[in-house]
Order: sequence, then structure tokens, then C-alpha cells
Amino acid sequence: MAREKFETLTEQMFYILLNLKEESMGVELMERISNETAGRVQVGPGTLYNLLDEFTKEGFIVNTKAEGRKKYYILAEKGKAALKKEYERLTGMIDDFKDIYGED
Amino acid sequence: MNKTIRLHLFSYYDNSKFENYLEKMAMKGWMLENIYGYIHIYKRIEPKKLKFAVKYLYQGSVYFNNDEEAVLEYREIMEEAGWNHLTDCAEIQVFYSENEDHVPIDTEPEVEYRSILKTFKKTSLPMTLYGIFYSFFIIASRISYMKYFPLEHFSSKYYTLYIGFYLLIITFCLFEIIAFGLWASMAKNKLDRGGGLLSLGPMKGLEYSIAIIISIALLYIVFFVEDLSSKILFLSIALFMVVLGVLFEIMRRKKTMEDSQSKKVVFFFSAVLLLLLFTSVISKTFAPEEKVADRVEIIGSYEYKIYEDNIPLKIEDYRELGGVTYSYELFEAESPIVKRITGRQDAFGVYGEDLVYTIGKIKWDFMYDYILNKELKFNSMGEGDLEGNPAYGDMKVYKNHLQTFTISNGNYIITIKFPFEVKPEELVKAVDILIRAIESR
Repeated sequence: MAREKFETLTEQMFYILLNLKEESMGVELMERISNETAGRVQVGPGTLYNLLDEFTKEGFIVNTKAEGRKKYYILAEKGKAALKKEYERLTGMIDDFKDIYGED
Repeated sequence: MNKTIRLHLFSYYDNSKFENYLEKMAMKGWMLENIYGYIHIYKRIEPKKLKFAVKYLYQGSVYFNNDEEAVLEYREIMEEAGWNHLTDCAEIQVFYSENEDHVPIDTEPEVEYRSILKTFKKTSLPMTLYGIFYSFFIIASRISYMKYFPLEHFSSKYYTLYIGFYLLIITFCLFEIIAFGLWASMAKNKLDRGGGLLSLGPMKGLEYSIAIIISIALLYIVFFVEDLSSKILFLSIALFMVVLGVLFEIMRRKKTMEDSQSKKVVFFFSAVLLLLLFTSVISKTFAPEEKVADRVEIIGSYEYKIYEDNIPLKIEDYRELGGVTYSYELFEAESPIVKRITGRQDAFGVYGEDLVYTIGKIKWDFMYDYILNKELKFNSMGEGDLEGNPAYGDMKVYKNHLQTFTISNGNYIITIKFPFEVKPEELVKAVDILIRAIESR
């Protein structure tokens, strides 16, 4: 079945939104996410450019200011809700796992 | 030689193929410098292993007035991530990196898919639709013009080639759209199943169009070109193209294409031969018929050019000519749709004393009624259908103004203007002569 856009968030989407709790410069996110996840999650610059554009149009984030061509973003209420929804989906999966296999 | 030119003949959006090609060229010591549509310029570098990325950014297109800020912002992000901007052409952006382990520009297949789809919708799609609508407009205007002299227009190679050319543009554009649509649908299915981004390889509009053009050209040569010298000429072009293709393939496999001398020789001779063949085809197709008057006669203040072509039907087949001087003209034309003969016999200084006729053999049955209806509509003044005369047999005879008739007989459409009142049996005789004349040529 076709998946709706942003119905669930991929790891890269999740970490971009997560890192925009505080106002941040777009390009900084690539390195920050890589460091946070010990290199497990890598966001390519093309993906970052397109996702920041899509998130802005979707109302998930807002563009706060620009320094030259470098833009700053911060999470909006709609983005926070999407992040929370994804968190609940993931914790729901963890709970289901625990129900079947226990804590170990 | 520090520069070389290559034709980029694979699909416009097939970026993975393009990236692999750029990598191979860099390994051979050639670095892309500029893109001019399908023509790419490379400059000489030290052979090295580089990683390339070809991306599409709709803001770079002329449709968005080359939104420089957006393009520069995109490039700046790429450069922050270690990807150097190499060159660009409208929405195509080419980057390279010397570090093979660099994080790819696109790490999320779904986002890349949406970006390609958006670029196509905003740039190639409007351009392709414009091509289709423009070609439809040209064809429609040509066809509407054809209704005035259908036999003349449909028998003209020029008009059929003209319409054929625009039909090919429509075919090419439709293939591009359909191929892209198929790719978009297959890529979406693959993404929904959790797979990566499907290569744009299946988008083969250009290749399919070239195959169709070659097939149509060969069918045209085999079935419609009756003149032996033209047939030989066209088939030699086809043979030449095949030989050239095989030659290039052999050279490519043996890697002798990098030997610039042999490449220059092949390119030079190919270009000269192609130019010669192209010129002869064009001159054979479009050269105007040059008629040279046999003699010039001056009657009163008028200067008459006298042509003495042997026309199949003449006034003297029916009446004595008396002392009047006549000139004769005969034109022949043939296209894949209609074969036509037009003849005229004009009396000098006597108004209305002329015999004019056109016989057209319609080769495609389904075009017959259309052309006949247009001929009748154009010649609609007169008595119309002359029914009930047994002399006409299976022929349908329509009388236009004065002594002008349109005759429908088998796959022939004939119009004759007589300079005298004609009897049914005289008309039948004229039709018989003209059919024999067109069949014998």
C-alpha cells in the first residue's frame, strides 16, 4: 500500500526534526546528526536541502533568519506533533516486543 | 589535444549512467568542463579516480528565470559537505569529490524520488507538452490548409515530410512522458516495498524514438520509394549508418577511440559523407521543378512562353484546333499518399479556351473519402452529382461550374475543365486516357 508523505518518519527525518528543538543552521545538522549517532545515521547534503524545503512547506519547521545564504530553522508545533507521533509509534513497537519476549 | 567533445546520447534523467560515464572518463584523464544540451566538452586532466554526482534542481531551469540564489544556496550546502561544483546546464547540476568515502548527496531514496519528480513536472514536462501542442498546432494548420487543394498538397513530398517531421516530434515527446510516467510508477512501488531508488534507466524515450524513425524510414524506402536511384540513395544511407555504428563499436571495444588521429580521420570522413548524402536527399526532395520554355512567342503586347510537353489529353483529341496557338504544361508529383498528374493546354489570347486537368491516385484507401469530399467542397458551385446516366457506369461524376467536372472512379480522383460543352461519352474517354496515363508513369 502506498505510504503517505510523512505518515511515518525515516531515521534521517526524525533526527533532523529532533535537532531543530533549538534554532540551528541547516548545514550544521549533517555533522551533528552523524556525531550524535556515532556515524550510524548520515544525512546527505541533497537530502538535507530537500527535506528542509519540504518540512518548511509542510509547516513542520520555520525559517527564522539567514546569514548570507545560510539559513536558520526551528521546530514548529506541527513538527513537534509529528516527532511525538513517531516517538509513540517507536515506543509502541518496543512495548509490543517486550510483551512477547519480555525485558530480556 | 587538451579538449574533446562527446555526444551525450543516453536519457536526460539517467543520472546513474551519466555518473558512471564521468567516472570512467576521469580515469582516462578527461574531466567534464561544459554541457551544451547533448554536447559535452571535456578537458584533459591527470587520470584519477573521482566520485561524481549528477543532480536536478528545478530552480536552475530557465522556467524559473535561473533562480540564482536558490542554485547558489544548493551549491553552498554541497560544498560544505565536501562536494565540489563542476558545471551545470539549466536544472542539471554536476558535482565531484576526490574522497570516495564521502557521504552521498542523496541519502534518502524517497526524498530524491520526490525531487526528481518535482524537477520533471516543473521543467521537462511543460517543455515536452509545449512540443506536443506546438506540433499539433502546426499539423492542424497544415491539414486545414490542405482542404483547398487536397490533391496538390497530399501528392507533395514536401508536405508529407513536413507533417511527418512534426508527427515524429509528437512521438518523441509522448515517449519521454510515458517512459517517465512508467519509471515514476515503478519507482514508487519499489519505494513502498522498502526498496531503494529505481534507476532511471528504463526511461528510453530518445532511444525508442530513434528506433521508430529508422524503422519508418526503412519501411518508406522499401514500400513507397519507386524511383530506383532514390531507393539506392536512401538504402546506401541506411547501410552507411549501420557500417558507421559497427565501426564505432569495434573502435570502442578495441579502445582505439582514444587514439585521437584515427578518431579525427573517422569523424572527418563521416561528416563529409553525411553532409553529401544529406544535401543530395534534401535537394532531391525539395528541389523545385525547373521548367524551361521551348520557345517564346509574342502576340500583341504579350510575351508567351511555349512549353511543348507531351500531355496525355489534348483538345485535338476531340476538336479541330483551327488557327489558335496553344502552350502545354505537365506536372507530376508523388508522395506516399497520392500520385498526381496535372496537365494544361492554354490558348494564346483566347479567354476560356483552355483544357486543365488533374488526376490523383490515392494510395491509402482511408484517405480517399476525405480528399474527395474536400475536392467537392472546394468545387461546390454547379449541378453536383450527375446521377442516372448509364454511360458513366461505376463512376461518380459531379458537375462543377461551367464545364468543370470532378470524377470519382476506383482509387482515382479526377478534375477536368473543358473549353467546350462535353458529352458523357467524351468525359468517359478522357477519364480512360488519364487513368492509362497515370498508370503508365
